[in-house]
Amino acid sequence: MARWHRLLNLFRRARISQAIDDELQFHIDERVDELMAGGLSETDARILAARQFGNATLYRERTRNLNVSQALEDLFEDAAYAARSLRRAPAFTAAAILTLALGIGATTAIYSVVRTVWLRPLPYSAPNRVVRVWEKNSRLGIPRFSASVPNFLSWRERSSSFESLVAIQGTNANLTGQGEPERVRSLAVTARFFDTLGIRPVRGRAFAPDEDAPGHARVAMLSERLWQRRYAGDPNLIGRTIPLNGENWIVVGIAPADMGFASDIDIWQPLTLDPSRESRHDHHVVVLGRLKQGVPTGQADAELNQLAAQLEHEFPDPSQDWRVLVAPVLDWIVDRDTRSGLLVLLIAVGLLLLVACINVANLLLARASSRVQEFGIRRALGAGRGRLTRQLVTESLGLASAGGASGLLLAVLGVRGLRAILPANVPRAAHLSLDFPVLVAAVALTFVTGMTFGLVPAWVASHLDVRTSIRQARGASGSGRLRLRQVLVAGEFALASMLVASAGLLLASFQRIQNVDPGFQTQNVLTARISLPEARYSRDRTLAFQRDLERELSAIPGLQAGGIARSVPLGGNGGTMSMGPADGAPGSEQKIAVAFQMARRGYFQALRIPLRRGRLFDERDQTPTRSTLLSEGLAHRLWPDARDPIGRQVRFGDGPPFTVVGIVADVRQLTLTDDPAPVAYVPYWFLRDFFVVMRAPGEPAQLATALRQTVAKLDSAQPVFDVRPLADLRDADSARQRLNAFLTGSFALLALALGAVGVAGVTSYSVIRRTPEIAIRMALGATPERVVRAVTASGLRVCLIGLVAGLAGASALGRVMARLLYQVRPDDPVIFGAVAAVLLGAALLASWMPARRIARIDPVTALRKE
Amino acid sequence: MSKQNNDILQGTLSLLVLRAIEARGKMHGYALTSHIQKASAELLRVEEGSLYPALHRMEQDGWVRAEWGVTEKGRKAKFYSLTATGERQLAVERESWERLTRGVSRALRYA
Repeated sequence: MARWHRLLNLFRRARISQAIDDELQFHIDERVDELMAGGLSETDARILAARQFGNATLYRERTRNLNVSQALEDLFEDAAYAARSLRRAPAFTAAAILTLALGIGATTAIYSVVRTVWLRPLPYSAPNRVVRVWEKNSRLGIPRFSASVPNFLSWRERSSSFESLVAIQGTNANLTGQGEPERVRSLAVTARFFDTLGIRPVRGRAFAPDEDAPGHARVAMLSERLWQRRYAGDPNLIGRTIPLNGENWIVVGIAPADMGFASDIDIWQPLTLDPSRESRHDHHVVVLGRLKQGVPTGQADAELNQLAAQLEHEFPDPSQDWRVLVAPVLDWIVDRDTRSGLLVLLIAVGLLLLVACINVANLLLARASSRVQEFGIRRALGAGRGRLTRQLVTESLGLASAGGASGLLLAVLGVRGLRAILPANVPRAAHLSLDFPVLVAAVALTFVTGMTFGLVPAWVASHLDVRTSIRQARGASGSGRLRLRQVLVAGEFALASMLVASAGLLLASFQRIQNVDPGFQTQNVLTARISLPEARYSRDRTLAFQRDLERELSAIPGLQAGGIARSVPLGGNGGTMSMGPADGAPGSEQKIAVAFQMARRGYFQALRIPLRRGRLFDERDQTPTRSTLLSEGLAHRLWPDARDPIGRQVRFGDGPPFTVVGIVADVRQLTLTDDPAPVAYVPYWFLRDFFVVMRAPGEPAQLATALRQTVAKLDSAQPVFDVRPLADLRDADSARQRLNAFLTGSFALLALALGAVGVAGVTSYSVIRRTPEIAIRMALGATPERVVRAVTASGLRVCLIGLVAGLAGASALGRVMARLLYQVRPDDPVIFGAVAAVLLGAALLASWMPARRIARIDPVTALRKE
Repeated sequence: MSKQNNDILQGTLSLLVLRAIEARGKMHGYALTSHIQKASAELLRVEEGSLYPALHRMEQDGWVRAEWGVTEKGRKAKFYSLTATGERQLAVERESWERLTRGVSRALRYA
């Protein structure tokens, strides 16, 4: 209550002061009356009364301070004073604000990515109860894998930990009707999907519980994006039909734009499971679940693993060693690599901010030494230690606020830039924005920053010795401050070294990824995708289309090779299967998880995957013969001692045996950075969704037209999509590494520049401070070169200490980065050596430039000034 | 002047002021100084520099209520009167003062 009044009184200071004056004046008047009654003249009475009253101004102040919140008033005064003194030193102010803006802006921008991607809650009701259920198999070395449909159904029937369990599977669909036919990504989900996540459609309804039953009417939901883009947000679309893959589907609802994942999905369809057509071998659905209230993840995990052991007993072959992992759904959406990447970026930008803070602290210290006299005089006039400290902190906070505001502007630009360069495979990045929590964080950051860099100079100023500081602006106390500044610069240089070393590691890692030989040639190859709708393409028509397409492709002039395949390497559409030799005793054979690829002859030729033994597929394999090609590594794992695997037999899952007709070189089928996975190729696997690969000299994009014309000749209503040069896929695969290296590299450069500025600042300060000493030395005969060398060396020594500490810190940081590094050890001596050389070069330059000024010192003038 | 010393004086001052207002009812600052001076047989003199800050502090703590009024001589003055809180405070301070003086005089006697 009282405090509130005092706050209010701050805004009616004038009136309060007037009231106090009136009251005190009344007192004096009464005294005068009394004195006059005692016989004094009015003049004498007034003089005596005033004398007796004492220091009226002081009493007035004291009384007024009781009525007005003094701290706040001081703050106003300090702020005004700070603004004045900052305006008086525009170069200093601009440098400090710019430095802070860079640090705060970069940190805010990166934090907004971390928040959007990782920390932002999922748009589900009670999101921490939503989990993903993985299958895993330690014998096959599979830590996390999709589930088989029969296993999913067994879980759903027999477990009690979940409110609901749903299966989802990605497909895609040809969308026709009004407008151009287009290819849209679709997700097939079991009916309770939307309930399980707790997501409400923005329009219409979600699927009813029975809508995934076989034979049910075809219903679909649209993404908000597709609804807006193609149907202009028409509310009457609900209840109407749209043609998908040549069949009519009733639109029942619109799914919200942010589903937490699957931001590229445009159509949602019910997933109808047909157990009679599924195998426990075939792990191809993603299973999500909602835990019952109060059931911890661990309990559900334990229950399903018990169930998995039962299933292993009931179905020994397909279930052998398959276990279950129940984990929060966010662990799936934002995987560990993404998290490590974000963490490293956050650490890097935090280091940059620290460097910026130290730099500004250093600037402030430099300024403080030129303000020693000012502080001394203020102390002598009675300013308290606390008051001086508070005023300096206010100045720092003022600087920080200006830096924070400019930093926020930079952050807005930065976020805009990041949105453009973030790789498409970063989850949830589409919703990147500077939201309220990020703003709060930025403000907090600004405050903490101001306190961090402001406290050191404030401490120094409050421990001034009044007399010496007035007498000499620079002098005795300077050496202590120089030491402090050297410590700061060493720290700054240490942080910069950490950043540069980290950037060096990431850059080297990216360089190595660029140089990886994937086992195939990406140059001059175009890839494209075709998906034949089931309604119009029977099995026979599909076969005929593929045969015709291959024939037509070979007729394209200039084409060196062209073929059909189930997927393209690094395209993210790979499938995995378990397989093993079929020639041993049944049950004894070893099973291996292999990347499974259907590919015709032209695929190997277009990608230039070398044949090591035997033959490629040819016309003998046109109809479904059971022949297979294996990658070198796979053949070696299956038969480590065999000289010639040609003619041996393998079995996929529990299928029929296939005969090995050839061995091809290892390729990196799934990712560039993982060691080549074992790959098994079959010549034919019935599918309507497949890729075309084509090789011709020159720009691969030029092949697109020829391909489209060829396809149109066969079927004019058939879209060709995902048309991309293979080299783009390769770039996309390393896009994150590129981004990490680029951002960390930029932060490192900035930090290095700031560090160098810091070193130069301290060196030039020490030159100024040592001018008399240097002048004496030169007068006694030291050559300028020697003195320059000595001063440069002292600057270099400071950097060297920082460098050693920084490299030690960097190798600690390297442990956090280990996940992100490819074929680079976190303490790689070559990289650390190179980093040290770069930093020493910068340090040398930064110390030598200001030291050079010594040569211009004229000893006589310098000494006379003293 | 050390802070501790000041506190004791202030404590005594508020006791004197509260007691004066209790005895005489509503009164202004000048009357307070003269009353305390007279009542203490000129032994105690209240410093104006301490009185007004003390009065304002007591007003903020809710011990006294202040209002502007007009004296018999027709001058505008600020009058202070006791609140219920002020009365309780006076009782407390009087109690502790008496305990203190009793203690001090005993200590003096037996020293």
